[in-house]
Amino acid sequence: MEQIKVDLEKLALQVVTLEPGDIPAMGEMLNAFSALEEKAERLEDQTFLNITHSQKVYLEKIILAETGDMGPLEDGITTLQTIWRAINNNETYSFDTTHILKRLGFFQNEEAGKSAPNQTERAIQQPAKDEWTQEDIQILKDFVIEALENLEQIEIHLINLEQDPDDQETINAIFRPFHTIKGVSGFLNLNHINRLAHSTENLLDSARQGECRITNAVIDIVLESVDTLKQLIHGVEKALASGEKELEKNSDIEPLINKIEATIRHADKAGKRLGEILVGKGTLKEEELNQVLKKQETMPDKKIGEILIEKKKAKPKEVISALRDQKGNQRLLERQVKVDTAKLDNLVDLTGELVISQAMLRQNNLIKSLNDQQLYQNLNQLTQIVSGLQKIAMSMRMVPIKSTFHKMVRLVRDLARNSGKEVGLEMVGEDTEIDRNVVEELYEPLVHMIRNAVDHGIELPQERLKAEKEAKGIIRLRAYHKGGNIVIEIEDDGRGLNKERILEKAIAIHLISKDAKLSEAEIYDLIFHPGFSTAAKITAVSGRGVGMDVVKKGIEKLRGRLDIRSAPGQGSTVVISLPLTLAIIEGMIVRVGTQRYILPTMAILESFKPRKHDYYTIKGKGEMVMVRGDLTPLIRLDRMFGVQGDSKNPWDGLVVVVENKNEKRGLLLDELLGQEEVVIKSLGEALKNIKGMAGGAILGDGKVGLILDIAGLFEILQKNY
Amino acid sequence: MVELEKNVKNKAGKYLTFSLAAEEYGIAILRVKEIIGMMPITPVPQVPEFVKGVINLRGKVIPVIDLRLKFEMATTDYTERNCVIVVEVAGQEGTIMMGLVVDSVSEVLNIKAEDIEETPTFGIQLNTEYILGIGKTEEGIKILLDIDRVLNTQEIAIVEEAA
Amino acid sequence: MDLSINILVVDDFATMRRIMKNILKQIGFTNIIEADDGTTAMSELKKKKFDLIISDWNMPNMPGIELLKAVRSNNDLKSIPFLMVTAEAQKQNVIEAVQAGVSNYVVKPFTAEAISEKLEKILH
Repeated sequence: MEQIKVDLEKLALQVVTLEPGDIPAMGEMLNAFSALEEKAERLEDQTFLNITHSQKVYLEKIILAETGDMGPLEDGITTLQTIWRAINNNETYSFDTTHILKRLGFFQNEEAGKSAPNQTERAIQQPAKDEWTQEDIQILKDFVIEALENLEQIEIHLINLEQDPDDQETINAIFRPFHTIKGVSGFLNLNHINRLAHSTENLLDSARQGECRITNAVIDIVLESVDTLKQLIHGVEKALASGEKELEKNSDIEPLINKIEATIRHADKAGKRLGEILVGKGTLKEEELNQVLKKQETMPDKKIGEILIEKKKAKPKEVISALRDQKGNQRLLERQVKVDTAKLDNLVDLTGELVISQAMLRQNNLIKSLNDQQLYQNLNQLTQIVSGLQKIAMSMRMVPIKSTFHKMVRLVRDLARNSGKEVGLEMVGEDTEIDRNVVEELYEPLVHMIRNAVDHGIELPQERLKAEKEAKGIIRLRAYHKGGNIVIEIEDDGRGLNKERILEKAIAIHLISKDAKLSEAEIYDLIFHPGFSTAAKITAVSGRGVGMDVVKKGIEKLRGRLDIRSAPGQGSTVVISLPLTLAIIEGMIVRVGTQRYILPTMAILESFKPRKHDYYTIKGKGEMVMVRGDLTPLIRLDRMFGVQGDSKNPWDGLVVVVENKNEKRGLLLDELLGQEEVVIKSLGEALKNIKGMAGGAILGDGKVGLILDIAGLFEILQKNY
Repeated sequence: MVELEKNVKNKAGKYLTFSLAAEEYGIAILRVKEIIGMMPITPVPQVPEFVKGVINLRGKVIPVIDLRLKFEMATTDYTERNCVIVVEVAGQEGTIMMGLVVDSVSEVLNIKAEDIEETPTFGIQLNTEYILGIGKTEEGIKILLDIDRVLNTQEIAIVEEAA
Repeated sequence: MDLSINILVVDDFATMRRIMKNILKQIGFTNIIEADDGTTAMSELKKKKFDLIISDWNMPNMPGIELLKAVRSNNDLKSIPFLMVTAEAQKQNVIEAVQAGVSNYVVKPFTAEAISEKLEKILH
């Protein structure tokens, strides 16, 4: 009791000395009022409590600069002191407190402070600037990049959210970027972006507060907002590039904003989530849950989990596991730094040089002649460190395939919606690592194949039911390492490829002759032919004749291969096999005169020393060599590259048979020097388009060897013969 | 006239000078990355003759141009005195590095605006488009090169049909 | 106002940090260091003496309110003026920050004048 008196006196002093705008002092007072409110419970005097509470709310208003009048606070304290004295003296007091309560705003809606319409919002809408300063433009450019990055993140999180709608951490991760985009766009006078981000943020905020449940419809709307924001931001980007003053075109975002606001208003109340998870898991029946929910209404203190366990509807273990699901596994953010990719490439280059220098040091004759144990130990250690460094440098180029896979989730979802099919996507091996550059190139082929799987593979629900399959089709994306390759499989459980239809079509477009005998694999291979499509109906998303040939080209560009397996009625699987990295190639080093070249081992079929009678000329010009009974055109590398080779006659040299797109050629050269993994280096902008050259490689002695591009060589040959 | 003066003023600055046969040339020092000794050059097919090939510059593969060949001067075999000047030139996708084989590197000179003369015209026999100007110094004249024009990437990339 | 003081600007969005830095430079401050969330802010605070912290509320890992609480509960740091940046319509945040001992708050979007005025109050 005495303490209340002391508190009140202290507060009275604080109120009198309070300067407008002294936020820290107000903070202390606010805490003092909260403490007082707690202690006042014991007084059991409703009037005292009401006034204390109103004082607190009023002080909050002062803090929020909604009012500047401190009078009611001072009067409120005086009233509290009077009441306290009365209570302390066991007197009944009978003066009217309505007046002071009114001044403190007690009779207004107490919640008003929390959700008052905000006046600041309209204030943002300043007219567009006439002139952007250099600094403004730089900030706008930064904003474009950063905002787009953030939106990309949102998409991935949204997809996670769809799988796990109760994960607060994910909701927060989605909320945050919208909030930030809203904030920054406000500064930059980007009103459309600002308003859209703002209303989406409101939607997410109500989800965060548990007022609105995350349903598919909510996710759809947020995705739509993401897409629209991207468009708006790209618009800003374009306007910046062309130097226009008007950064935001008049695009109509009102319908979307209205939609978002309607969603907030009609949101499902959250709750009964735990029960639903258990129903979903099959632990609980729907009607059992409803019974328990009714029960809970009579005893609101009990949690639903407790009731379930008491009624023996669910085992504690099951409830705990459902609770864990509800919370969602908190995804740990790894500590990461962003590094310029050019720096990374430099690091790889330099470590490569370090390996060579270190090897040369070991080969040095003087060092070799020294018989110093310590020196050798040191050198060995250097070798180990250098190779460790090289491994790390190379591994820094590797990224998990996860983000590429995750982009497919959205695609499958949209495609399924558009085609009226039910399709689920399962992913295995998302953590499999792959070269950063490969990942980028892989995106488009994957998109094409997923489209094909949804549009042509998976059947409509009724069709699937008729075939005694589940209505929902499944596409499985699988990634794993095998040998030096990464393998990616796209498997669907749809209708499978129709061999007869493919053959019919191939004959119809004169791809093969009527009586051609093809193996199953060869038939499937036909669909990669340009202009080939067996889809009876052309859909908006999946192409006409384009698609699979593009996929094949894309994969071949990455030095990979494609295989198809299929069973009628059971589905198809496309298997892509790619080298782990584009940076390294397994090569055969060959010598032509004084020059060394590197042939990709993958293209080499065999090598042999031709005999004189294996060699033929056609009209004295075209040179051919007999390889296992086949006449194979001969390419003299020395003539082609304008260097002096040792072998004047083919039978003096060596022929390496290489293959590209089922065509064979014999390359005439002087010597095979050995097989080696080499790092491919670009020849730079000036020399990048040289036919027949895939790049350069630094060889063991530090000199550059050229890597041959077999397809390019064949083309040169075709022109010249 | 004002335009012209400004032009000359912009050209003033430090130049790395080097010799080709009996002539002295200069390249703006800001464009020079480093000077290295001769090293084995790997020839590349289907390129103009003045593109000698590629070298390994600390793990990067860069093209090397013989300036004597580029300027259609008489060539000699390379000796130890020959140097490769690594320069940065404007490419279509940002700057790129290239090596220039020269007879020998001389020194770095600060050439003032008043010592730079416009390139005289020699009529049609001599292409002067890659000359910035003529620098007059105590030791004689230096031909100042516009390196971006000398090493035009598109010109280098002209692929000569292989035989 | 002493314009040579060390200021720590904390926000996860780089563009926002840049805007804040520009405003501070406009006012005349020169020593501005950035941090991208509460955790990095704390490690900056341990490295160097700061005279002012300006932090956003909404950040991953360690939001502004937690940074404020951490600063106020650290004997070496608790007297550093702390300006919280919040969004409009997040009034509960303001109250929470004031209760946790914030020196002042500013609501986005703000102008250079608004920041200058708040800093006058905080820094005297």
